[in-house]
Amino acid sequence: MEQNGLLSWVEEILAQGSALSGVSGHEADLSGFLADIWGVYCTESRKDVVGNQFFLKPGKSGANKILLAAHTDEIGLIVTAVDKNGFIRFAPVGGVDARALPAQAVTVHGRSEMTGVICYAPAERRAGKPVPLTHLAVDVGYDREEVLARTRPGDIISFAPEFQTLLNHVCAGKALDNRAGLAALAVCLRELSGRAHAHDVIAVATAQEEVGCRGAATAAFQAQAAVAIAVDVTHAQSPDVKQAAQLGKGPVIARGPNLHPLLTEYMENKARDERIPFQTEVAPRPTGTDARALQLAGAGTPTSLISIPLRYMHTLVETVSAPDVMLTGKLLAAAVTGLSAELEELDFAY
Amino acid sequence: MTTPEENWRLLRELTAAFGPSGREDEARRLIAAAAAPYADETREDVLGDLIVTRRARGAADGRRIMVCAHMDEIGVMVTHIDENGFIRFSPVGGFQAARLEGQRLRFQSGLTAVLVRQHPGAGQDSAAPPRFYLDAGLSPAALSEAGVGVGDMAVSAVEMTETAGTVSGKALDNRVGCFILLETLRRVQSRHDLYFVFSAQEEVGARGAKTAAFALAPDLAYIVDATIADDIPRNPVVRLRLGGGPAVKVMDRSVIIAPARREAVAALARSAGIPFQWEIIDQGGTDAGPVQLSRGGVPVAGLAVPTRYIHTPAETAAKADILLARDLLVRCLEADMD
Amino acid sequence: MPIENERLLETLSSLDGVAGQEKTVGEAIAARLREIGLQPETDRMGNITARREPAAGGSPFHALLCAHMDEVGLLITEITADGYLKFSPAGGIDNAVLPAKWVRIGGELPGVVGIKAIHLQKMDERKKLPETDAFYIDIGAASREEAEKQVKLGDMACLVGGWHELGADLVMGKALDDRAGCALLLELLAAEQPCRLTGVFTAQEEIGLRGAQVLANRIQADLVVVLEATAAADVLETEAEETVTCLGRGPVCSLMDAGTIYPPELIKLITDCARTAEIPLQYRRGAAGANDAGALQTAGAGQRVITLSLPCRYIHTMRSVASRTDYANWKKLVINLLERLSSPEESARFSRETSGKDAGKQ
Repeated sequence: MEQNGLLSWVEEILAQGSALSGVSGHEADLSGFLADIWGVYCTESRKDVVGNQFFLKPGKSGANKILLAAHTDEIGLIVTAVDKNGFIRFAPVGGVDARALPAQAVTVHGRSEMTGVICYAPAERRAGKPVPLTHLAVDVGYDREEVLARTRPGDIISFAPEFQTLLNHVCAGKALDNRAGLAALAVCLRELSGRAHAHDVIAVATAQEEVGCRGAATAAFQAQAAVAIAVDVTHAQSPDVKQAAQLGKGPVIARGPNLHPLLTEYMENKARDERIPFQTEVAPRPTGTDARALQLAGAGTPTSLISIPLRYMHTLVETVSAPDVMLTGKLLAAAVTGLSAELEELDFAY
Repeated sequence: MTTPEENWRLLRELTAAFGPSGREDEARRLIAAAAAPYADETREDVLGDLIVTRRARGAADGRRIMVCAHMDEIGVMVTHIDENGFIRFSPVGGFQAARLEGQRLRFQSGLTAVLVRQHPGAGQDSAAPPRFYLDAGLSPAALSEAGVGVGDMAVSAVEMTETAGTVSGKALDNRVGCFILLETLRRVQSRHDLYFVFSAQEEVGARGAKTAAFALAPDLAYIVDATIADDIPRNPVVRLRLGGGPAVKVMDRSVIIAPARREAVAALARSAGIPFQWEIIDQGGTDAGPVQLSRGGVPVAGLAVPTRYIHTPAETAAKADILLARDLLVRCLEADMD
Repeated sequence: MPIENERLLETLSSLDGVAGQEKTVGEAIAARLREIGLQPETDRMGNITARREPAAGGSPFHALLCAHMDEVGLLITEITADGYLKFSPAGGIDNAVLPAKWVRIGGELPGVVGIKAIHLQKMDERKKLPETDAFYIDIGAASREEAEKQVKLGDMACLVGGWHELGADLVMGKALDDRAGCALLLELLAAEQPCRLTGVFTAQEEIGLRGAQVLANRIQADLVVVLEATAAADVLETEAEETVTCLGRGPVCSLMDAGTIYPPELIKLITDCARTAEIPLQYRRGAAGANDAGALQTAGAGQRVITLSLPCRYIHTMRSVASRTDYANWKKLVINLLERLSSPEESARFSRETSGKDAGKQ
């Protein structure tokens, strides 16, 4: 029963988070949401100049700090110009796939919000070829003068949200990369609220991950944590993706030079202790996640990466399994609780 | 808007100075000399950055502002000299040999050489990427005598030209920024401590600005650079044009400026009646990136001079934009900080 | 200018009805017809017909107005071992609009058209669109067995669009082609008209005008008016001659398309109607595509046909966009035309019997 309650809470958070807009560098609209899902379990929160938002959940001893990082931002578009017929031209913010854009509904965040649709000239209908980003535009249905009065270069364009629960508690929507990570951390903080843990937990909603893990770099500099765990999404199998994690088979613990071997092993052992199914992914190079920046903070920070399997990354139909999100949160909570005794015993030096 | 002739002479000298990434000595000496009369302190760091301090005037508020323009330019490095004295090279920064075919490059020693596209040769695949070499008309021994060897660098030998409204030549990216900083240094009266950083090695990945920002740990930073003007034939949607005023940075590949920060610059421009344009470029990063991410994060804003044909010897900018960028920068540095 | 019954258009456009599976749309239309006091008849192809006689003293001229109910969509052709659905398009859909889009199967089950994440695409994959048979729909099923409990082969998957206002005058929804025609026809049937009116809501237009073919065997009228949505390609840098039609420049009169050469005397009459009533009118530039007019013109002994259309951007996607002002003018033009045809003079010129005799004399 309690499990089902938690699961529907996760689905609710995913739906709410997916509906919000937080394109890299413009994450402020998520503050209220974060206060609702994280803040209630924490004692302090603050923002920094890059847009990171920190939440503190003090531990019993507070001897060390554990940094849990999930990025808030999502990919989007930015207005660059209005053409002579009133169509809005744009540039990508983050890794936008031009192939998924035609006919998408968008919101232009100008002086007032405008609904628009991404269009292309019919001459672009070249058999088999995608329309390049530079040949796409937003139609907002006004003439040029009116468009110029309502928007200007630098305004953000976000994708109009749509969220659906498919079969098996599989949720699909925009920006689940990384609203799923935020939801997992919410589960973790909620679980921790009933438990004792020795060390301070600093949960940080990092900014600007999609443009190069920028927020994580300054967040880690400020936090000076003993260990850091990045919570993000990773590719899941689909008909055109075979070598990847599977949806619904639990969190993914990454192994590789970007991740500390002892901390990684600790996370795996915790999952086994708690009977939480987990999957393994191997990252031979720096991961494309906040872990990449967290590891290099201070004199080097032992870092682990826990990911939620997700299909169709960087599209408006990103798909995750709500049970995976829930289990990720539970694993994080178990790891934080368990670290009380073991942190001193773990020798993180290579 | 009139400016004394000698000011444009300073820009001419700045663009003429030899200074490919990592070999900025000549440019740095020239800038240091020009800054000396107005500087409270001048120093150089291990990456080759020149840091000119101008302490607060009047009631100091204890705030520290970093003002940064890179002084390095793109060029080539000699990698091999064959037995006939033909010089092979690697690009330094975004140097595109194909755009300089037939033009002369200049070494620090003053020797010049012409850039040549290698003939594919009989039976060679004409679809293969073209290869280039430099020809100074000298034997290996003579090259050595003329002060050119493997590891030396060369830059375009073009000199700046001027019309009533524009300047054109090599290395406007970013001697135009250095020029604006020097012109600002002469005028500014600020309650903040100002650190004018003429950064090294921007063209190879904004390396100098990174260490300078860490060392200075400023409360705020302004980055001044040249940026792409795309008001060229057959471009239906122009983002930045010559003569439209300085560009206020919104985004490039390395940075997204906090909306409130760019609005603060825009408000200063509006109140001073300075026209401006928004800079959004999806190619190329700038010093703004690493400065923003220094330590726990530094608030940054960016000003830029729209420049056509960037990374060619025909970089072209409007004089009015340059002077307005200077005026705007002075206002930014003199404004109260929140 | 507003659309008289915009709520009706919104409702109709959001219903799902791919060719051959127009039942839901047909039921909604039939319900509305009964609401306005008419008796809908459904034939074995799924076409719905309703007749409205003029008030006493009205003209005996018989106009047949038709609009098609079906929309472009996808039919499920395969369920894979791991629970994904493969499909084949019913009607012309540009593959460029399919990646990463929402669909609804059988009118209720949500799904998404998946695409390999940009991070995982090889350089050459980024430069081409997947072939139709490489696309798949994800409904969250873990296996074929699980998917089969929800979906049968041949089920339709419709593109999901929602309803939005765009700018001050535009509406955006799916299937405006041709629910806009259905909505207009319902509006016309709901009001008193000067002549005999038969309204037909046809099935299976998008896959070759199939519903209209059987219709033509049963009903003969003096004039057939096809109410369609047609492409407006006035997008980005498109040259004027390539735009087909433009949004906001009024209803569209077709001159010729792949199925029909429209009679010049009718084009002239419509032009005259528009001029007298000061309704903006545009002619369709370009002759590609065909509609029900083609089937109706050549059925039996032949009928006079004309197509009057609503300009519509991004047609055959989940985001078709039309102008409210165009819609209002479209309606005005049709009413004007019916009034003209009800005058004794024009009625005599265009009715089957008299015009047939005229032809015989010559």
